[in-house]
Amino acid sequence: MSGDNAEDNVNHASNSKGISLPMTRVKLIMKSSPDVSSINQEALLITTKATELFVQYLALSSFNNGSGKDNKTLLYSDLANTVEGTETFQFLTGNNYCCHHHVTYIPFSLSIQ
Amino acid sequence: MDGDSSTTDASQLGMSGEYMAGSHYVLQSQDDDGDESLHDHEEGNGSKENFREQDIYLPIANVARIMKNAVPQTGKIAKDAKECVQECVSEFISFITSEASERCHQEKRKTINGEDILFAMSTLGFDMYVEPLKLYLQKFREAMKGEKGIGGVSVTEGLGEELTDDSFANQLPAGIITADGQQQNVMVYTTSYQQIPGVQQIQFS
Repeated sequence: MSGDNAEDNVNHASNSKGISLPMTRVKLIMKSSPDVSSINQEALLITTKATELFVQYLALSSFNNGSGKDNKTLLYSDLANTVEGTETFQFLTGNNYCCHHHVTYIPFSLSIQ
Repeated sequence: MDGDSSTTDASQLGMSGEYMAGSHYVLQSQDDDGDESLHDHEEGNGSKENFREQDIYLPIANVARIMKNAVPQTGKIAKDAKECVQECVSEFISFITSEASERCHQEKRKTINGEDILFAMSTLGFDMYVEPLKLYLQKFREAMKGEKGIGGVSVTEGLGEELTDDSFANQLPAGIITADGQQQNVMVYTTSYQQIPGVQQIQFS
């Protein structure tokens, strides 16, 4: 995988395209899902870009909603609160098993202790 | 949970011992040159064969940089918040991929394409990303065509020159919905490309 020329070119392109995440790593994560055989370049590109958007969205929402507003620091608890309170982020809590493929997976829980 | 704690004790993060594969939870140094490491939370395991899917992360430096650029300039980000988002990101990617993969299988196809990903996002509640991503993809296709002409499949140095960093500087975020519900303008590019018909499907696996 790492010796693939097309992939090296795509990775180079990712640096000159305003994407700041390594696409090979994104692809590795994608391929670790069960039953995934191959992923075309556009799918990888879109997923990488979407991941950036996701990070921004999660960070900014949590920052605005949390104690970060006052002391200007985004805390873990801000993230936990935002995830708990946002429908779209429910997949992160492990309470809502949308992904039935991950049957043996212990979810990363952001529920407040 | 202690809100102002800056420790990254595994119990505080609500993770069970089984979740972290093998070794104890290791604090990560601030100057992160761990871009080569798949498992930014753990030491020692350089072997790709031993990972479980939930242990593969994007480099924390990249994730932290995106977070930093997303919050107001004076904002800071706690270390455990960065690590938390780093793990959420892997979850997100797996989440989208599984959904896209399922659709692919239902349609008897083996390769996940861009449409599958977009459809998955729309289904899973990330439909606000679909239009910005379509726009981005369109520009990408046009740029590839424009550089290589008919049949070009690789992204070259020349393409890198054409799409300068300036073209993309400060174009992120796009399509962000702020906490008060307002959506920022979608701005993916400022450079304009000629509309070139046709889709270039490049496949690798």
